Amino acid sequence: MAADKKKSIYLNRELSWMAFNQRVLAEACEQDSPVLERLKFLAITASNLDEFFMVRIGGLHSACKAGRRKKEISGLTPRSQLIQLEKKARSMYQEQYNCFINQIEPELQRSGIKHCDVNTLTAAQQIFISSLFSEELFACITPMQISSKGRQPLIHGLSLYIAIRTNAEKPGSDLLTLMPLKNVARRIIAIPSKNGYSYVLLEDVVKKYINNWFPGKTIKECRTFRITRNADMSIQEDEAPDLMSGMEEILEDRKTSECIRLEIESATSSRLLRQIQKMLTIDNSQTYLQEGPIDLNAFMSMAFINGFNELKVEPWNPQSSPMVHPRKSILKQIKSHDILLHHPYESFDPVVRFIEEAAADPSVIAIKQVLYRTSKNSPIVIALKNAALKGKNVTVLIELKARFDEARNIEEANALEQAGAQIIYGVKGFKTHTKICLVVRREPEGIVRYAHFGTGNYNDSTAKLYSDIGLLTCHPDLCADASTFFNIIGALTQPQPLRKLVMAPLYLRDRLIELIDIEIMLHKQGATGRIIAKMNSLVDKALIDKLYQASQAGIKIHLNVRGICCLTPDLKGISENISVTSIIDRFLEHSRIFYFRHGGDEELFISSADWMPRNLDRRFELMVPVINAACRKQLIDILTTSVKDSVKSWKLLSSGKYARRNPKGSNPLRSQEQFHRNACIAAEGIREQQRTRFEPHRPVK
Amino acid sequence: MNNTNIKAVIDLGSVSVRMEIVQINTDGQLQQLDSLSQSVQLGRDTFTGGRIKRNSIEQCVKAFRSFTTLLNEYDLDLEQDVTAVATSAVREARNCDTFLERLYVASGIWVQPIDGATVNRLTFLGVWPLIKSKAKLLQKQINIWEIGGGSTEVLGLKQGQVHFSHSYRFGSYRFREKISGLNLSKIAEREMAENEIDGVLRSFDTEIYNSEKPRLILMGSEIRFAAKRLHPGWNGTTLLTANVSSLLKMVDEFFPLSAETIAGKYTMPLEEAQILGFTLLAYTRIAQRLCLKQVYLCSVSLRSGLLARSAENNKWSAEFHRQVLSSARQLAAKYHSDLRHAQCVEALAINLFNEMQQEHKLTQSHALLLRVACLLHDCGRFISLSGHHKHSQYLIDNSDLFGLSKEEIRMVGLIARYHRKSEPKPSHPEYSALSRKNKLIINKLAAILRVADALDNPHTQEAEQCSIFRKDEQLCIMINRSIELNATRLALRDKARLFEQIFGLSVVQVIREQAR
Repeated sequence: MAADKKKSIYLNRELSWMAFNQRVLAEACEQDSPVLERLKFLAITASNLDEFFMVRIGGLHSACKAGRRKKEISGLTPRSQLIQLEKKARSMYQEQYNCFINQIEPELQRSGIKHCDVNTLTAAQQIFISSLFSEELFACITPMQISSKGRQPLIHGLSLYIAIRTNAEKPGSDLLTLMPLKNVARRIIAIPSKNGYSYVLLEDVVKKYINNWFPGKTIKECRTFRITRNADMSIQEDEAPDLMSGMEEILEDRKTSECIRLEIESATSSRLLRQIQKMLTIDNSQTYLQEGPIDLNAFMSMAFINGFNELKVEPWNPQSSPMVHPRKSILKQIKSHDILLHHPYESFDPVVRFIEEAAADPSVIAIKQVLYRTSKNSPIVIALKNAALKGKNVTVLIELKARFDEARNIEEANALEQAGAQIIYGVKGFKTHTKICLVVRREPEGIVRYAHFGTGNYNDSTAKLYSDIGLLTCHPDLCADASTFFNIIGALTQPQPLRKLVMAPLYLRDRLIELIDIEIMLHKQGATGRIIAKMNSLVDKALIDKLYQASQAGIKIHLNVRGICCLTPDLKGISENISVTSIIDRFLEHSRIFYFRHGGDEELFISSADWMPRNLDRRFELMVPVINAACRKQLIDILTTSVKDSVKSWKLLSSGKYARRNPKGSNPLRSQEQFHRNACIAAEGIREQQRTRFEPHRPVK
Repeated sequence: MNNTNIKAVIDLGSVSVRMEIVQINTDGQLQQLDSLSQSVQLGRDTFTGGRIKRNSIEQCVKAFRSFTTLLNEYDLDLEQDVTAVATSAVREARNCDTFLERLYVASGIWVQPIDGATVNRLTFLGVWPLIKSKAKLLQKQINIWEIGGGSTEVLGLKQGQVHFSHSYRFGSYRFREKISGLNLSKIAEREMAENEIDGVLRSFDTEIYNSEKPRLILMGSEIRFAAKRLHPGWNGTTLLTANVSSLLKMVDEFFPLSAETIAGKYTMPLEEAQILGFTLLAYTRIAQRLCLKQVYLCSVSLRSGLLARSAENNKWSAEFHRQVLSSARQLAAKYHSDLRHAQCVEALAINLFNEMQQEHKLTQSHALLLRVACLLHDCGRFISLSGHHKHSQYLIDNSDLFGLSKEEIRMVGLIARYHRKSEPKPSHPEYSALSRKNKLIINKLAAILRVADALDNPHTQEAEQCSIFRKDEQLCIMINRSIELNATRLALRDKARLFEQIFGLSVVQVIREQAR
């Protein structure tokens, strides 16, 4: 026990994630921000929590159920983690609802976005909801009676239900009936309003007319709730010869997996609560009584409501990259120079154009791409289909195991296959998380290959919200490696040595350790060591230990870790040379950039991988060196600006807590704002150069 | 658009099948487009059971099918643009033909089994540019070793000339077969391996050890692995100098480990991990036996040679011809042939070959066989003057002539055999075993050799100055009066008959009146 109490030098991964979500929540509570921006952040925290419950808390429940007691690196067992997380979650919910009810909703009301009580509506509004009830809701909602015997109806995870307690024939007992609200109508229903925007919530409308569904019965109580099911299940690939059907089974299993969270109105009577808990076989520790509307994520759509621009932040639209001419062939441009794109400050269009142009180019003989998550109606998928229909060799690895995107990916895979593309559903036992696209073109001088490497998904929608890096290149070594990578994941070859790229799961951790070791060695030889790494999560113990070792050797290390960080900075004798910051701002920080001073001969990489065991051991990932001098300069600038952020940046303390970084001096720096501003200036400069001007001849006076 | 500038080569070895696809740039440089490899267990099957098992056949079929996916992507013609060869593990398998047919049916790729001599010449083609770039090294005596699963190839160079070329039935899988079932401890296994290697090295040709201490160039996949471990940044385009002590340290590190541990730790196919320790040990023993402190490691493989040849449109380069002739001269010297006579006959034969080009329509590769046969036609005299043409054939057949395949060496032997006495006859078993096409080649080249030999019958090399031309139905050979006319005439009467039969020209002497 004594050992348990000894403070670990590693932070708990799950608690660190909670701290991340807490930082996002702080943005929602930021009173200086426009209210719809705050609402967006609030909805994000709710959505984040949903996923966290499904996957991480679900996983811990599974571990407890299986009797696993192995401590993770911070020294906590699955049970003790669950206890702490549930406590943290409760306090986070309290803060969320406090923010929503006491701050955001009143301010929305003041600003003209009015949440109306269904019982105090104007006549016009009443007519509106009455017709909604009679024309849509009444027919669409089918109450499901719950009997104590027999099979229970399927209750979908993360879907809203109303639980109704009515009197039973047997005196003293109640009947429980559920009314599913999934796919019935919009959750937030706009109602007629003379000024501003008025809305009611779907559950309130249903409740208002509830008696119509239960003629002759006494309704004692009706409450809104939703449940969360464990989604931490993965396919046993050895037992699934056909991954496609195996994944479809997983999706089915997920619908009926154990319930791990119940969110219900706080005013629910203990009688109804017990009935629901019994039905779900869930206890109080997994029950969350909410003080406001269940599922705050539903308010995300309101954050993007038309109009009300004064309640939103000024839009930062993606700008054209100064490295890309909008009307010239993108392939020709790549041939003349590497192009580094910084999304979403710079538009994702060149990446889409790259694939579209390749698909249409008769000289292109092959396109190979990994798709992990795509957007709906993705232009990239359309381009790939077109290329396949034109008879090009199109190879697409669609990762069917990409969590929560399985269904869309299965659909896309089928469509691409029908178009004639060669589809790989992923690599057995691994997820393929690499962001890579390779174009093989036959040119007069021979075969020339072009590649795009990215830190973010090929998703033109999220590319407007996530900050990521993309590199378009035709560097022979990088492209040869890209080809080898596809040969490896397509099982055309056993792993081959790569020239410049570094691939997980085989070599990435070792290479990173080697890079840090070289830094230590050079530092000891007198060269000043320096490591800067920007990533989403830092969890891997071997790398953390190596960073501690580097710190102890005297190397200054700055880690810009947006989310989970299990490394404790500033521990005397262990990590006093390491500082950890985290930026939470308008765009989700998503790029992975690694810098090693390397005795002045700087090593600079972008990567799809976080420094987590799952990325380094169980996924195919790539770390890509940035070779072109202009791109390196641009990347170093991105990295140093991120490090200097003093406005939207948090500092991880040795206690494991995060504190806002106070702007030092008179020049506070908000990195995302600066990136946007720089992108605008660069784009304007280019527009100026490209502007068409006619110059008239004038008589000389 | 055609694909003539993209070529692929496939090498089916004991533990792996590898393919390289390259682009031949306009400057002749090769640019690797793709490199693929799949493990196979052909060595284990052939060297332990004598035949390739069904599982291994299907494993190879799968590998070939995956290779063709990529070949089709580049739109390569499987017959024109792809060269596939197999070495000892396939060549020695009892079911070699069935196996190769299965591969062809499944993938459309014909695999050519090649012998040790061919491996050596391909090795030479691959390694020569690296040696040539080191002027100092070029002046030294060099031994190039490659230890495979079933055979070991050794190539000796002296001052840039091929000195010898040998192929031995010694390899890591053969050793594994020997110790299989013995349940040896790792220490005992190493001791046995050392004894085995030393035993084999002792029995090697004295040429390898008894001359000037040679420089050692080591090749093979184990060497590429070792080189990468010693110098991770090495790109394989140069020879890498390594200390023998470092190699020995590596042997000490790997030998005690199980194949599974090596495979897991170094991301290596199990089949390759199984032979890593033994092969590296063998290389270090060779170096130690030669008392060397340093060796050169080389990334060149059989595929490099195949690619170099593909780049030359499958023609042998002038440099290669030079090396083959050098090796033939070495052999002629070894058997105390009259080199001046041999070289005179060679020159005359080439004159005749060129003059008769319209009739015989043979290539420069055939000219090379003729030249080698000329150089070696009398080497049988080393054994006895009587029937020396037969001794020549025997000696040639059983020599490791650099650069020529077994089949080509057999042809050289036959051409040399027919330089005198009997003309080719169906009753001669080696001759009758040839294809119709090869029989015709032998007839044409032997006919030329017989006339050339007759012209220098006195071994005075005076005939070297003769002029050869055609007049009506005659091949006229203008020779000086001073020459021993009668001896030459008699020899021609005896030896030109075959020429006249084959080419339909009678050979006549024309006397050139010398200026007084």
